[in-house]
Formats: sequence, structure tokens, C-alpha cells
Amino acid sequence: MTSRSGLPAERIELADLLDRLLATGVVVSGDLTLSIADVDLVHVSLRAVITSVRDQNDSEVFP
Amino acid sequence: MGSDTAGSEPRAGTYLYAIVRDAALPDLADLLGVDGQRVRTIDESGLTAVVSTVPFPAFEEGALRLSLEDLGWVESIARAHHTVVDAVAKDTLTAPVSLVTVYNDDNRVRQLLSERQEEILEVLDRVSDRSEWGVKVYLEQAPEPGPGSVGSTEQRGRSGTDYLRQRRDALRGREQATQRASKIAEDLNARLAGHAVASRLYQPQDPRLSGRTDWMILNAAYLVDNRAVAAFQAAARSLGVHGASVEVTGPWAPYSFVTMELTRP
Repeated sequence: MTSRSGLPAERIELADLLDRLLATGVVVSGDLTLSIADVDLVHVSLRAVITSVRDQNDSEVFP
Repeated sequence: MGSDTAGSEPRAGTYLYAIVRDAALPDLADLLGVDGQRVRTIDESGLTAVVSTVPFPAFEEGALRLSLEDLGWVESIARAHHTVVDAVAKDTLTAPVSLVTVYNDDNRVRQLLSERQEEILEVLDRVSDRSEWGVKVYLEQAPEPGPGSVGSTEQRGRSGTDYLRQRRDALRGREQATQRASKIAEDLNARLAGHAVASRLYQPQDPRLSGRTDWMILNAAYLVDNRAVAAFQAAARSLGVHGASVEVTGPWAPYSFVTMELTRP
């Protein structure tokens, strides 16, 4: 697959991808997880994933 | 394939990658999307949605919540999503859709296109003949760490007053370094924005995701007129003379500049 960005998709940095894919683009519905039963649509904000990655490792403690 | 389909048909949803004008799309026949599924299109109201089928319940809320805890899973979906968007945007004016947008069936997507046609066309106009470029700027030296993070055994012998003074000085130093960095970042951003029609600032990336330990002071995206790309790139390259290291990525599909919220009708 020729990439528009001149890099094969697997070489693009994950952090760059997530910046763009999580917070932007056409967002259908609000920034929350919806019940498929209620609205026929699932849209999940993945920001929580990244936040949880951060929180897990934030162990630096000052004396 | 909707949830109302009774019987042996496996339940499935429609994963939406991007919306384009109803025009000649590149041949997507060999393109595989998330979960290795073939990419297809849905035409409605002069717009075309690029979609693929995803299995339920794996792509329903409950299972997704669990899958999203797994960064490896998120990465595979993000890369598959981007591969499709990138292939479409290569030759076609494209509004990328954010990650993991799943509908119950194709009809819901048709409904979206017909009810929101006007807004979607507006967004597409905004990015027409323009491309997105990412710029990340790093400084070599990170802010000085506080004394508490080094040699903490040594600290125990000191008086509380000494310790507090040192601590205060370190904090002040760090604050000054941060202020200086954000001034540099503002300045660099202003120069680049002068060559762009729009810009968007992102949070500095987490070193645990980016794998880089130097200090990211600017993480931004710019929407640039195609005829101004050379000037923009030259401007970005010249930022390096300030002792900063500059990374330019792109062209990207205009992810950062099609943000619109389409509440379900």
C-alpha cells in the first residue's frame, strides 16, 4: 500500500496516529461511550486508554 | 447484517472510516480494514462513506470497553483505520472519521449522510486543495529534576531548612525553563501558522508512547494550501536554528481539521 505520508502505515509513530485518531476527525455523537441498545451507535473515546497508561506509570514520588 | 436480521446470519456492524464526495474513488478492492475485512462503500446524497463490516459482539460496547484497555489492540485498530483513510485520501478529498465509529447497519450510515449532507460538504470544502502537516519540536535539555529525585539517601543527612531551600530553587529553575520553552514554542508556532490556513495544538506526547526522552515543546498540526507546502516546509526546517530539533510529518489526511460533532439525529 503506497502511503500518502510517504511512510508505510506500520512505520508511522503510534503517538502521532493516536493524536489524530482519538481527538479529531468527524466525531459522530459526543465524546462518550454510548449503549448500542439506546442509540444504534457505538463511539468510544480512547482518551481514557492513554490516560490510564499515564496514570499507571506515574510513580515518581518526592520525599 | 443489521441486528434485526434473524436466524443464522452472524451479527455484524458497519465500521466507518471516512466520508468523501460521491466521486471517482481509487480502486479499494484490495484494501483490508480492521479485523482484516474488505473495505466497501455506501453512496447516499452525493456522498460516499468508506466502511467495512465488523463482527458483533466484538465491536459492541461491552467487548470494546475491554479491548480498549489493551494498547496493542488499540494500535492494531489505529493502524488498520489509518491505512484505509490514507489510501482513500491519497487521491480524494476526504473527511476522516474518528477511531472506532461503529453503526448497527449500513442504513444508519445512509441516514447520517442524507441528514448531515450539508455540514459534511462544508467540512470537505474547508480542506479542499489543502493538506495536513505535523510538526514536533524538541529541546535537548529537559527541565532540571527536583533534588528529591536524585540521591535521596544523601538528603536524609541534611537539615530540613537546607532541603526546603534546595527544593524551592529547583522548582523555580524548572518553572523558568518551562516558561522559556513555552515562549519558544509560541514563537515557532506563530511562524508556522503564518504559512498555514489553520493550526491545531496537541499536548506534548507521552515519552512512553513516543519512545523519545528529549523534551517535546511543540506538537502541532497545520492545514496548508497545497501551493504553499514548499514554503511551509522551508519555514519548518528553519526552526532548527534555535537549537531545537524539528520533526515534520505528512502529508496527513486532514484528521485535525475536519472535527465536527454529528449528534445522532
